[in-house]
Amino acid sequence: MSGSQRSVSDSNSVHIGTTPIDLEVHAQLFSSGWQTALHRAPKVDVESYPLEGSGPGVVSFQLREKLPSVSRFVFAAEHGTLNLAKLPSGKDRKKSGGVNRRPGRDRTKSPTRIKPPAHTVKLEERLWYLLQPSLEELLAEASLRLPFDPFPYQIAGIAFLFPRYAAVLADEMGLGKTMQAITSVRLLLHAAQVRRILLICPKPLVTNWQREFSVWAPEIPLNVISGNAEQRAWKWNHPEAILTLANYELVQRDHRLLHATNHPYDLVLLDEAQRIKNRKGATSTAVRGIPRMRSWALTGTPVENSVEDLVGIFEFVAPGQLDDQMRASQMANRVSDYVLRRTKDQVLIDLPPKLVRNAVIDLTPAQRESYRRAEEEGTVRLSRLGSQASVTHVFELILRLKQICNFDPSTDESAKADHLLAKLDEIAASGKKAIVFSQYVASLERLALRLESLGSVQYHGKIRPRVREQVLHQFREDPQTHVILMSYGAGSVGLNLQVAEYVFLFDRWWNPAIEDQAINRAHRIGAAGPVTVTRFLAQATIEERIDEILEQKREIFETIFSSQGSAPQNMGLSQKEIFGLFNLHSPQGPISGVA
Amino acid sequence: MKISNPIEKNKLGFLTIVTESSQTRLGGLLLVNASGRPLEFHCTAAVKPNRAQEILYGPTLGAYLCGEQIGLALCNALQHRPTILLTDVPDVLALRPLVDFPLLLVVTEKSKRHDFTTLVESRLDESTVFVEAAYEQDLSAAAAIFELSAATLDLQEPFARIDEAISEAKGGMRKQRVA
Repeated sequence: MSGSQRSVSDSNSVHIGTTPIDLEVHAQLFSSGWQTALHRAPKVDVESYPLEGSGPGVVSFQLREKLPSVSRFVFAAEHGTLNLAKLPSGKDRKKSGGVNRRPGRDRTKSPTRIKPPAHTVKLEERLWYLLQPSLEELLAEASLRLPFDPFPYQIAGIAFLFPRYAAVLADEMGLGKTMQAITSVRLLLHAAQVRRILLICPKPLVTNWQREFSVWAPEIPLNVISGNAEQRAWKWNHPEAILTLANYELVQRDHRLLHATNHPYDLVLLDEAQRIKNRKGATSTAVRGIPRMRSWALTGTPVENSVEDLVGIFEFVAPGQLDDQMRASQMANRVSDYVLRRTKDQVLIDLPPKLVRNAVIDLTPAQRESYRRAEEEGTVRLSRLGSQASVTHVFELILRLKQICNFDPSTDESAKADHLLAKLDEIAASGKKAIVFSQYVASLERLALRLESLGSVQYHGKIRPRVREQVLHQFREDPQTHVILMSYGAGSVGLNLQVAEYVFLFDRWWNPAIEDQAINRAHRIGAAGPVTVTRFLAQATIEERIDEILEQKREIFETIFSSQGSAPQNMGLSQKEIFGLFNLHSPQGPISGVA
Repeated sequence: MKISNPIEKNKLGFLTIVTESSQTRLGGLLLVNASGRPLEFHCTAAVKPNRAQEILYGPTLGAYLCGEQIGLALCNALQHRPTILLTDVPDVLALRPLVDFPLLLVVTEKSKRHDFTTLVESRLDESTVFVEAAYEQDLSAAAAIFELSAATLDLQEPFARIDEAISEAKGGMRKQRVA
């Protein structure tokens, strides 16, 4: 085999030369081992190279968490203590004008909810009150239906009393404190919040309360304390008694028995609570010592004479809450959560008006002469006594002069009586009724003699308690009885005499609150028409001077309950004022409680 | 004296949820007797969903929190089994598969703007109510219960009580912690 050689002469032509090559092949066989290798599986070495980095991180979310924590409040099941069998039948309710069917809901009116008082600390208790249905819903229950529809302010009053352990319902007279208290008691009994209740009221009002309970809560049995010591002891300890009704005198008499009990009353309710205004008095001590859980007080006149009266009531309701040294604004602040007071002007827009006028009377000549002589003699005597003159001496003179303003002691003449008779003639002729109030039973008895032809009855301290109810019944029901002659003491509180459209104050009481109470016997819920009040005032006499002071006293209520301004420390007549009635100077210092 | 007011057998549960800022929810359950008087009240601590729950549950977050979390926790706390449970929060209906008593949605101010198209509607006393379609039988059960005992009970009013009680309980518990 020849070889070839290539040479390059220039870039455009190629010249090929040849070289001989020996092509003889010398072959020789050698064992290479390939044949075996062909049958052997190849050996493969694997080398790995990671293509990914480290695996991705995983985040796990626990979506189903454990359930949220729950605060639990389980309320005691209600087991009322009352027997529904004693509820008035549907027929009875119809007669009294009440609702015989659970009323439909009125969504236009906002329901009245029970709010826990600020001083209720326990959360469970606060929630229990908050979670109650509205009062309207509660009262619509078959077992709680009322014979008459309450006014909205009365519902608010019940919502105020119901949750409170300490409360003063101080509505103006005639707004239905009795009904509000009875209904609140009833709700508490039905809700099993109370089991034993003690109601204390003035003696003349015991029958009134019995009557009111028969109307508003006939299912509540009353345990009325009366009789001799042995009988009373049995009644005080009556194990089944739910509502015990007693007067202040008997509570005072039996206070040892009451204080010694191991079972506190669930509620002690005071009517006309101003009876305990004097903290040092035996009545106050007896009442305050009664073991109890709840303390409620009803009064139209929480402040009769001085702010101390309110402090006295609070010593029963919430001891230590008030003291005499507090400023009026401080006191108003302290009582705000405990006291509810509404006036007729605020809440009874539909109540017929009350027309009050002063009848200024000229004394008859005989009266004038007797008056002049008595005043002259009296002032001369007081002047002679000088610094020895006491308030008692002054009061004696005032009493004498006021009595002369009513009737002349020697001739029995009376300008007031003549005027009154003329008015009462007219009233009787038109078939109306009137109440005549006087401070003096003697004056009432004299008037009774003159009023025989008009059909009059008397209601005062000389009338035996068992006859009094008959007297009231006769006045209310007998169309021939047109006048009731009442003393302020016996007739100014708790009585419902809406049948009367006329009230005469034959003479003036020392205290405007008492006068208002008297007037409100007629001017209250249920009054059929306007009530005309005539206050007799003998011209140019001590009565005119006292009237000026009474007007000043009327401002007291405004001050303490409006929390504006500051109240005078003492609202009774000061010694200076009493002596001042006769232009006399007095020894220094106030006389508390003289009025 | 004879006990006058036997406790009626029917116990009605009212469950509502208060939503505060940032999706924080508190639940309250009031159990009342047939007269509407309270027997039990339970309320939850504040429940706030985390970000993951917000993303992953998406539109079903409300049903999860209100029904499966708050609703279930409240029902577990009950001492007495309710005859019926009413709610004014549509999301609470998600609780229904987890309980064995009827659950109805009552239309109130709180719920009236909700879309009810997937639910079954009915009237109960003066209120409009809804149930999940799968539990339509709850409507007839509810009608029977209310016909028997509580026909005059206001079905909307108790929710306001719960709102107020939740607010009170929050304040009260805060005070207790401070004390």
